[in-house]
This record gives sequence, C-alpha cells and structure tokens, in this order.
Amino acid sequence: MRKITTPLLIFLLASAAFAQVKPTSITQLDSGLTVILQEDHTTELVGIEIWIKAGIRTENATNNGISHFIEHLVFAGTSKRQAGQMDCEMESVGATLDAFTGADYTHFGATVDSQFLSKALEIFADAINDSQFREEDIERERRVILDEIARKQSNPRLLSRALLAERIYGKHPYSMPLEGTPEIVKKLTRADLLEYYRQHYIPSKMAVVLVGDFESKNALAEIDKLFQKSANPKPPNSQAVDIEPLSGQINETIKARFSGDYLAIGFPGPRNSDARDVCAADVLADYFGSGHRSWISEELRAKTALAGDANVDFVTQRDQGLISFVVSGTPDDLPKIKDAIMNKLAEIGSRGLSSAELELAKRTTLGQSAYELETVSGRANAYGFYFALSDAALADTYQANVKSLTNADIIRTAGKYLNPDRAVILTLGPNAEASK
Amino acid sequence: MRRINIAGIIALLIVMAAPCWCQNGSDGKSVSKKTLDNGLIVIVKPEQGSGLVAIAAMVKVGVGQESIQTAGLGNFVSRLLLASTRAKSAEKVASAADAAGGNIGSEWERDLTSIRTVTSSSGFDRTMNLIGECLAEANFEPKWVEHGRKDLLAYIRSQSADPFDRAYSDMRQLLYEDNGYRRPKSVSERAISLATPQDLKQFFAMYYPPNNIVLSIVGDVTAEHAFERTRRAFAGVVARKLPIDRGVPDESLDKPKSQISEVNSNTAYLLTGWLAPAAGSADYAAMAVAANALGGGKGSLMFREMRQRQGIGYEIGVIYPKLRYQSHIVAYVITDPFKDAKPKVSAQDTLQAAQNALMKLVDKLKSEQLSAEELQRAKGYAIGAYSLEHQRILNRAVLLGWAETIGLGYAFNQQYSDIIGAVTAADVQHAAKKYFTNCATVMLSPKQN
Repeated sequence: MRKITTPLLIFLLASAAFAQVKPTSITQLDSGLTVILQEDHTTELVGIEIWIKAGIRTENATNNGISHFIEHLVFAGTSKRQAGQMDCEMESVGATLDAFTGADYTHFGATVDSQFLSKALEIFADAINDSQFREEDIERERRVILDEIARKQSNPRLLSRALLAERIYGKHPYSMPLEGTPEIVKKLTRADLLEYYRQHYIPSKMAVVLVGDFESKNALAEIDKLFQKSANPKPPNSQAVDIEPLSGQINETIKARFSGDYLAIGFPGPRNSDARDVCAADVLADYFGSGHRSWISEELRAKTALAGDANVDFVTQRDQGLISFVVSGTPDDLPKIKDAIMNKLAEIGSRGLSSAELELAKRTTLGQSAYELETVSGRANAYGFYFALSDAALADTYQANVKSLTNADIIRTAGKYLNPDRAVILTLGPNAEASK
Repeated sequence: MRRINIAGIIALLIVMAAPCWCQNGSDGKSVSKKTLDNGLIVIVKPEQGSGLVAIAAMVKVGVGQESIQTAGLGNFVSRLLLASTRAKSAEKVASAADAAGGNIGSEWERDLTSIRTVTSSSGFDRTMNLIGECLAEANFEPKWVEHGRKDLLAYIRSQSADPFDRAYSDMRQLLYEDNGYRRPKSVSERAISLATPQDLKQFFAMYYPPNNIVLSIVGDVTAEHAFERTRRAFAGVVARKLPIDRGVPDESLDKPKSQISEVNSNTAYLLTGWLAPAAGSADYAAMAVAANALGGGKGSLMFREMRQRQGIGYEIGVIYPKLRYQSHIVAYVITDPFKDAKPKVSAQDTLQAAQNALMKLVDKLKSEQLSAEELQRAKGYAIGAYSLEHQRILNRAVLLGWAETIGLGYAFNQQYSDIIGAVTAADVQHAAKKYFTNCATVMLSPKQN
C-alpha cells in the first residue's frame, strides 16, 4: 500500500467555501457555561463536544491520573442509567461516544444524525451532571486503566513522549503521565474522584460545542435547560508553576520493551498564546516529518536509509508545548540520526528554510488543518480545544497565521525553542542498556 | 495547533479494513454511470456548491491477483504510476499535478489499485488529463524504478513490527491456504528487489487497460462535463484482452488451528478468527450484524461482558473487512496479563480465560437470538459508522468507486442501510451457526523478564 499523505490531498479544502456554514457564535450563559455553535446544513450530521478544563495541569503528585480516571467513569452510569446503557443508546442511533484526556482538558464527543440531537444532548447532560461513580464501576475501570498503562509501555511513540515530558517539565504538572502511575491509580478512592469531579466539572470550566445541522436558537435554549448544574462560586486555582529552562543537554539510555530501537529528542515549545510561534512550530514539525517529501523521508530514508518509522510532532498546550522527534533505527544508526537532526536544527536556527521548503511545509500544515476541519466533529474539536487552552476564537485565526509565516518566523522559532544545547535526547529499546 | 493523536493501529486497521456504508446528505439517485467505448466505467455524483471535485481512478488489480512469484509487483507499479509518462518527465508530471491544484496519490490495496485526488472545479479538466495520461502512459523509466525500489524497500522495512500487525498477519496465514489476502499488503522484498523495468511494464500492460478501470467522480461538476472530459482524457486508448480472472475459491478450515508465541511487550494479544463471507455474498449483511453484535462498539457483547463485567482487556473489538473474495472475522483482545499481580497466573492463563469468555459469547450468538435492543444497536452501529465514513468528499468518491470495482455495483452504497436494516435476529443466528465454526487462534504472550 502506498502511504500517501491524505491531508495533502485535502489542501484545497483550506480555501473551499463551506457554502452553508454560518458564523460561529460563542456565548457564556448565566451559569458560566460556554456554548459554541456553528450551524452547517451541508449534511444532516451534528458534532457534539463537551470540553472541561481538567487535565494533568490541574493535577498533582498525589492524584496524578485522576482526570483520566474520571473520563473513564463519566459515561459509566447515572442515577437513571446503568453502566453501558449510554453507549448502547448512542450506538442504537448510529453514534459512538468518544473521550480523551489531555494536558489541559478532558473531552467527550460524538457525531449524530441531527434527528437524534436532542436525545444525544440529554445523554451528555445526564452524564456530565449526574455521574454516580459506583464502586463496581470504579473497580472495573481501574483494571482497564492499568491495562492502558501497560499497553503504553510498549508503544514507542507514546512512551517516548511521556519520558521526554518527564525530563523537560521538571516540577510543572505536564511532567506527569496522562494516565497516572499504577501506584496512584490503584490508590485513588471514590471520595477522591467525587471531590475532583465536583471541583472541576462546573459550568465556568466547561464548554458545549455543536457544529452541524441544527437551529442555534433552539439548541441554545435546550443546552441552557439541560446543563443547569449549580455553579461553584469558587473555581479551583490553577496549580501550574513556571517551567524551568533546562541548563544543558540531557542524554539518557533507557531499556524499553519495544520491537525495535528508537531515538527520542524533545524540546519545550511555544505556549498556546504565542500564536505565531505555535504555527511556526507546527510547520517545522511537518517540514521534518510529514509525508514522503519531508526532510526525514528524503534525507534519512531515501538517501541514507538510516531511519525507519519516524514521527515529529508539536503538541500545543496552554503552557509550553512539547516538540518531539521519535525515530526508529538500528542501534548503530541512531547516533548518526541524532547528529543529522541536530545539525539540521542548528542550520535552520541560523538560516531557516528555503522559500520552496517553507511553501511546501506550510501547505502540508494547512492541508492537515483543512483535513481536520472537513468534518463537523473536527470543527467542534478545534473550537473546544482552544476554549480549554484559552480562547475558542483562536481556532478561526490559525490558518491565516500559518499562511502569513515568513522565514524570519521560522528562524526566530527554531532559535528560541529548538536549541540543540537544550535538548533532551533518549535512546530507547530492547538493545539499550539503562544508564545515564 | 495539534493534539496528541493516540488513534492507535487498531483504529487505523478498522478504517482501512472495514469502511462502513451508508449514504450521506444528498440522495444516491443523482449518481450516473456510463461505460465508454473502450470499456472504461465512469461514475459521477454531482454535489453542487463546494467548488471541489474528488476523483478516484480504480484499477481492478490488487493483492488477490498476484501469484507468490510476483507478489509485490502490483505495489511497485502503483508507486510509479505518478512518476513519469511517455510524454512527460517526472518533473513535468509533478508540475502538472501542482498546476492541477495540488495533490494526487496512489494506493495499493487488497482488491484494487487507485489514484485519488481532490481538485478545484476549475482544475478538474487538467487533473483528468493527468490521470488519463498516467493510467495509459506510465513509462517506468529505469532511474525512477531504482528510486521507487529503494523507497519501497525502506518503507517495507520501516513498517513497525507492532505486535498486533504481526498477530493479524499470522492469523491470515492460519485462515487461508491459497489466497492473496494471506499476504501482507506490502509483500515480498524479494520480488521487489528483483523486478526489472520490463517486469513492471508487463504487469502494467496486462492490468491497466481502460476496460479494467473505474473512474469515480464526486463534487462540483456536472455528469455531462465529467463524462466528456473522461472521454477526452482516455481518447485513443483502446480496450485490450484481460487476463482470465479465475477468481479465488472459498476455503474452509477443516479443524481448529492455533499458534502461541512470545512477544517483547508488556501486553498480551489474543486474536480469534473465522473465514467469513465476501461483501457480495447473500450472507454478508447478517454476518456484518453478527460481527457488530459480538464486538462492534461499546455496547457489544464482548465489550460489555469481557471489558465491563470481567475487566479483561483495554482494547477489544472485531475486524470484518469488506472484501471481494472470502473475507474473515477476527475478534481481538489486548490485555496486561499481570495487572492483578497474582503470582501464579501466567499470561497463557489470562489469554485462555479471555478465549473461553469469547467463545461463550460466540456460542450465545449461535444458540440464542439477539434481543430487539441488541439487534437495533448492532445495526445502528454498523450504519452509523458507515455514514461517518462518507463525511469526506474524497471518501465518498473512493467508496462509490470501490463498490463498483469489486463487483457490488455503485448502488451498494445507497442500499447499505436498507440491507443492514432488513436483517432479522433469525438471520443473525443462522449466519452465526453457519460461519462461527472452526476458528484459528493466535496468542502472543509477553516474554518473562
């Protein structure tokens, strides 16, 4: 199978008019709940999303993993619905519930046929307002989460990112794993979960996002009625601390149960609010790693056959995001891959990219963005994501920012964040001998 | 902006293996089909207003058409389709693609090879010309053959040795004796290393005449315009005699098979598989509902019983790819066998317990009819998933062309929800009894440290 980069194919969508899309409205209700609505009657679908500002950033060393634990339990059962019932009700009308926990948020979503929107909203509200956290559900999900943690240990990309974050973020909560550690997960009690849920699942920290085939006026009234949970007068203070810059390069070798050997390189990237730097970091990540015309494909694969699978990513977060390179290769080749990447980073820091390289990379980034925004759930996701990080309206400025990037932005961003002397470099795999 | 994408291999596999069906938005009556004089089939679904057109050109050659000796050639050819043509150098093809509005790629699959692209309405004519030229005149210049060979071999080697991929590949080896679906899609390094430009040209000449191609066009274009441009793009390209398609006969497992091996991982893998009807079979719909009742979604029997009640497995599900020839249903469970820290429990015991739990559910499907709620959920899940597959314009073109290419007929897409909707609990039970017979089992258990 040819590995084509589907997002590239969709580049054109970036400029395509969504003929039936109305302007997005962002409303804060009296309860404090944010409601983001975008009507689009092109298809008969609605993307429904709920975003809550609860993630690793709102956790600490004793409750790490609790946001994710709650994500597993919110749709488990309410006073009127037993475990599994909500999934069955949603799936009967062709919708599937989806949930994810990130550094700054917890999110729930589904795409439904518009005739079932009211039913889906009622289920979402029931789950968000009235989760019961029954002991048997907690014990069951505890085991499932332990499975999830174990599975991550053999996933090179996920484990590498977690290990990089641990070293990059120091005392900031971002250094902790999303799912928590097995020790903490085994200890969390129903009381812990309930307390955290009551503290964080409050209207002022939450957004309901709808994109698709509905009438805004009716939807707003329905949401206002359904999500009438009492407002917590005192939202919890953010516990986040400043991220200390690294004093030098960190090099470590870690034994991991992968089927091959990997190199992982990480840097703290820009904050979400540094919008131009965020776009430049995305473009640089795509320059290095997206598609068969990327730098890694051409230099480390086609020309020198050093690299196997490769992933370059920038995860945007409220505080500094994470830029990561995860590349597989033979133990002999990994040092060569490292040198090649480091040299290239230094070069970009001083000279940037050629105009053809910059145009191709921007096009890739825009293509990926357009691909995400092609579906109703993709658009709902983008608004919810930016709401959780800071401001939903940022979703509308992303593409214009990418388009206007210049080589000066690239040089500045590379110089500021991708400094080889401040990198965390890990060698991981079955052949690695644990050592510092 | 980017979020961590944890959509793992399972999700990808399901998307690749089991695109689902159901029409979206506008009705399927607007689809027109025409067979040109040279045998090329053109299907057009106009959708006004978006300013975009998606094109999927599908050639009826996939893994199934290759012999063991030639396995890999089709993939190699597909990668060079857009490299250079008799009339245009590689640079000219690339700039023609750019001028046409961007981006165009090829895919090599189990039942077909495709070129797919999304272009603007104004770039449509140029893109059609380019596709016509590549499908009629790809020339396999030695320089690009060498480049493609290097690229393809590197790609095959870089395919992550993910335990799930390995287990699924082992599963197909156990299930099939003599069927192209046994082989991984990327297939043999050997055939790719040895292939000469002449071999590739021969393969191309044999399988790429217009009478072996379906063009599916969805978007902001009229049917008349699309037919006319296709006719022009393939003008002068004549029909040729095709190799005899002997099909692939159905097989059966005469006894249960199993394979147990070790994996360097913290998690254990259980895959249980059965041979299952092709997408065109009269039993397909009932079996699709049975598969979804068993393991499709969080309301499925496996999810409720194994994950929710017994806490076995974080990832649980069923794969049932829609294939031209005899397909397979594979139920999988991925679990950490040591999470309970009971000293005497081995990974094998955990996997065996999972297997026993799974077989009980399969027996239940054979011995009892699904309740009305279970039936409705399984059908809703199948139809909903297919509906979501149609959200993207390129997917709409691909699914329309795919159904026609593998012999189901393009109308299959719009009929899907009716076909699934008509399945009764008795149909599901009947199909379960017929197909959930001898199974193959693959277990991967973690090496002890």
